[in-house]
Amino acid sequence: MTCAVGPSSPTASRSAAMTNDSKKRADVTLDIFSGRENPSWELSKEQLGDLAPALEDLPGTEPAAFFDGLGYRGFRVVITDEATGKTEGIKAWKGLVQYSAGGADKFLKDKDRRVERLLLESGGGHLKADLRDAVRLEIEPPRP
Amino acid sequence: MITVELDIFSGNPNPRWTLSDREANDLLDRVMADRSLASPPQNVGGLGYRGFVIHADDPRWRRVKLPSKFYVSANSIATERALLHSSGAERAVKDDVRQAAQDSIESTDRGWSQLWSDFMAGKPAGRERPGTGRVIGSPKPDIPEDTPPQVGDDTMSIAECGPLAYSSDVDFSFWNNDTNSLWNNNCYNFASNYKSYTFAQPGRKANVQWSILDCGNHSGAIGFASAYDDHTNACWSGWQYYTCFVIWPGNDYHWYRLCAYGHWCHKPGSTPARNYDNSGFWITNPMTCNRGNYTVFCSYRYFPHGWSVR
Repeated sequence: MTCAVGPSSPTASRSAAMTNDSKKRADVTLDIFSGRENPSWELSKEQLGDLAPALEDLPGTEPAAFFDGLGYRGFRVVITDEATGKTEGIKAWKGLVQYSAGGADKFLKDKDRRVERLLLESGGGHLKADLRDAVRLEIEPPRP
Repeated sequence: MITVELDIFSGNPNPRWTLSDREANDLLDRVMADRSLASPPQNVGGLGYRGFVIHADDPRWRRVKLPSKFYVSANSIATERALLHSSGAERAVKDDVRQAAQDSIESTDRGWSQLWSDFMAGKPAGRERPGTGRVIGSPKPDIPEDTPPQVGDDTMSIAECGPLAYSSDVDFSFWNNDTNSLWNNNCYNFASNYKSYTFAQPGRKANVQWSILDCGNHSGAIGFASAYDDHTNACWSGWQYYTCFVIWPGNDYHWYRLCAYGHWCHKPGSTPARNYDNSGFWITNPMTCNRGNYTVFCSYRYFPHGWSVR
């Protein structure tokens, strides 16, 4: 999958390499804990298919640092092409998305937090209700 | 009027300048989009570039209830760049000083973004080298480095309280210099000052791993022979660390360890070890620092130097 290049290309077209490809495996980690291992799970084909369009129209933004303290630090997704072994990566935290592939990084702005909401929903039974609620509060976009 | 102070010097006064209207509006937009930028001023330590202190004497800031003084440092790379390149900085800050600040800002951008990129690019992650981090002062020579674990995890019966051992409060290279050390060692590893590369869990080494996230069960898994509150005299006879742990009720736990100069340090999960809390402040009191969701302070613990965890 390719993403917009730089802040001035909000609608660059992209291939949909992530969608409906039976050779792709997507592992999600909710980066939130300190002592315990973070919750992690695999996306279904359908969930992976939903993720690509969520990233499609995100505008580019300037590189920024992700929060790395105690608490919610975002979602990490590693997409592996099981045929070639190549990987793509997505990190999403409070509307900031970093997409990494082929040694290059793109930063995207997700003001509606659609990527995070999709990933949170994909967690399903892997996440306790109170943890899911806590994350939901974190990813709620600020009110204008 | 918004005044910026570049916090960089030790002996001389820091450079100061005023932002233009456009630059002030830009800063206000940034802080309104992310209020965590507006941390009260705090020296985050070390010689050289430390960040920016913002002095805001502006009715717009007061109307939106922003603090009149706050600190901008790591975790806000874009804002740091904007401040360093503001028009007043060019007049107020000498070129070599500005370059030094820029170098620091760009190098600390090697945060999650760069580490994530390195991880995705399959760059060498560093070898696993389990072991204890360097401390200030040497342990007593008769302390066994690898005594078999007893029931209750990493301890054995104790006779008298020994002296405290400290690691550096600013040098975390032992934990942060490679992704393997970062990803595979957690807060408990840091508190014990031992890299196991197993994301160590209290009690696991002695097969009595914690099972319930409350202070009592967690303490039992740590398995010290008696309560190691700081006012007891039951502690290890050799060098030891002074630690404490906190709980995010029902979800997680976190550990801190006292480092040099009275500063507490910690390592939240797979993230870099550091000496500041969630607000960017030095941690001088883990009971009152910003711990986010880890609202329950359980207790202080002495932890023997040289013990391994798993």
